[in-house]
Amino acid sequence: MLEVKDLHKRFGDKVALDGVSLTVEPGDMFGFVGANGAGKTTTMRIAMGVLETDTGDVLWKGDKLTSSGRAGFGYMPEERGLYPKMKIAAQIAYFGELHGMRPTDAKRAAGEWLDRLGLADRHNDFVQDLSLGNQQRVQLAVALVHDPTMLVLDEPFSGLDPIAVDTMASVLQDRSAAGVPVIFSSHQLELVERLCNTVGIISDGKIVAAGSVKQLRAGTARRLRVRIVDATPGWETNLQAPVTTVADDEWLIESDDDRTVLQAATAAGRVVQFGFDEPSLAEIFREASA
Amino acid sequence: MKGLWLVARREIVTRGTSKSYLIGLAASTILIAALVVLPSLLDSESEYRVALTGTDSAEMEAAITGAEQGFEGFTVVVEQVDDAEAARAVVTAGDVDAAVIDNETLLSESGVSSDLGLVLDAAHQQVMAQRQLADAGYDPEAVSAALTVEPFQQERLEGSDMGARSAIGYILVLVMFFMLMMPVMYVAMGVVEEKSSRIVEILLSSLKTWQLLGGKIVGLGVLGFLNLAVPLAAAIAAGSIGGTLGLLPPGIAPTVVTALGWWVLGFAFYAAFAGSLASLVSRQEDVSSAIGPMTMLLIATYVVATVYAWDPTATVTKVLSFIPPFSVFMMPVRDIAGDAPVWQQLVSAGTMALAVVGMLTLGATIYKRSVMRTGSKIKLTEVFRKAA
Repeated sequence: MLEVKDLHKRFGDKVALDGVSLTVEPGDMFGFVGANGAGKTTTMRIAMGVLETDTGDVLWKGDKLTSSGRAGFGYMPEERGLYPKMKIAAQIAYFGELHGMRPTDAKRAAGEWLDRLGLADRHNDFVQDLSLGNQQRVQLAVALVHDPTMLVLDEPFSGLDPIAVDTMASVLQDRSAAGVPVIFSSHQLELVERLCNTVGIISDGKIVAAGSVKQLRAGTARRLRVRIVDATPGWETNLQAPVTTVADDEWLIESDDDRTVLQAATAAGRVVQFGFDEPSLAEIFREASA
Repeated sequence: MKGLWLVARREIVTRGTSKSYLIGLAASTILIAALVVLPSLLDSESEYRVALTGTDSAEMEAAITGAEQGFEGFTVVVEQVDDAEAARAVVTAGDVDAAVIDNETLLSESGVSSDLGLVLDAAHQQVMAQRQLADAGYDPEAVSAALTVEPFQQERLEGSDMGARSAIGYILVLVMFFMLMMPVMYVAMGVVEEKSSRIVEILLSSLKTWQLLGGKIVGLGVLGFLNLAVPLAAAIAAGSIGGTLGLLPPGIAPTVVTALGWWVLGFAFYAAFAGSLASLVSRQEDVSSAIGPMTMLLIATYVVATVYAWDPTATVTKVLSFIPPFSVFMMPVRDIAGDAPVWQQLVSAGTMALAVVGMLTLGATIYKRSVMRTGSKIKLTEVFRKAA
């Protein structure tokens, strides 16, 4: 279990993190969402030890995270990086050894990951000769080669084609199912909604909402979506609730009182659609960061 | 330490097995060995052939053989031919360098070399003098005895080889300078490569900054050391086989080995300096301007050393041979001049080692504070202000 506790970080006059706390349980897939500059990358860099925090702690299994504990982590930074003039199999094995693997194990694991990621015939190619998508796969192999105890991935899906997205998603689900805590940031909210059982929303260096998607939905105001054919003009003004007109025949009404609204709607015209609207993660996100 | 070794090993394997490194190493080894052997190959011929015919041929042969023994470095082989015609034929054919006809005419294609001329002149004078004295009625035995003289006793004044020692010191400074400059540049470029390719962020998630910088310095240092030591070893081997090593002033070979030790200290110092300065920039094209202060210091010590290499016993030379990083060049210069007692070398090496430790500490601090910051160049003042 990874616990981030009350991180504060300033860059000069700019406050980057203002008391960020979050918890990633074993087997959790934690989606970390927020606008650009909200503090996702800074939080992940501090967790990975490449940046020092001003105050606050990062705990691993209840104790302060040390470099030996971190050696088991797999990391994919937002700014991708590989040695351009190094053969890919050797490069992946090198990172395996940096994480404490024995040379033979590292070499074997590198080969297995390349096979799994569809790069079996390119072991001896240089990174600079690969397409961008294939470089991303190598980057993922670098993060996974040592069978990590924890995965920290900054924007792992950015720049991937739909097939690569599926590969990445299945690899992450596989690791998560094996009990590895996974945290990743993304702007692709439908993907986060599909993959993650926990979501944290960060805005201006603060976590503004965290929990399962269901919990987050419960936290937002409920809305009724109503479509009426040939409705009496102005019928909605008589409701005692905030209303958004979506189209000529479609309204969103923020109210829990479905009976009253339905009565008013049937009185106004022929109701063709009526029901509570499930807000998407994108809508929850917009509301939380507003 | 394991992390440092892994980084060093990667540098050695990826750069050391690159074509450019291996070709460069082979080329410099062959070139230097050839430069050492070449003089003994091109040196004025080691064997002259002379044909003799007609009057006094037998006496001339004996006299030539006698005179030739006074010279080192070449021999004269004599052969008798039937007549003047035959003598002309062998000279024209190039079978012999010269022919003597009737002890009157010296025949050659286009003159004889000064070495051979000396031998032939001496033989000619000896034979002619002997004959003319005998004709004048002197006892041939007594004449022969009177003409036999002991050769010069050679005596060399001490310190006479200082010019040669200075020249060797100068060349050593030159070689050390280039062999420092190149691998130090590689350290700087390697630091920026990791920064510009952003790989440094993954590296630092499993390595400490000192391991990353230290491993790079060790790895490229090993390659740089081989680049210097292998050609030097080849030169010494070639020199001892070709005989040119014996021409050097005594005690030079061990000082070359000591100079390798000075190179190691110098490399550690400048590499830490260059690596930390390079971490201030994010693009390869900014490297040379970023490491400007390091380059200036290295060139300054080099220029001073090239001047004082010609005056290795001067007070300035002595003082500078204790001041890091000048000592890197100045102490070997004094050592080659035979003017550096072992205790002085040890004291100076100890001082330089302290400077290396200081530079490594400072370099690691600069590197640590700037390596994760990308974008435009970071000012050094900014790096140090962060400490406050």
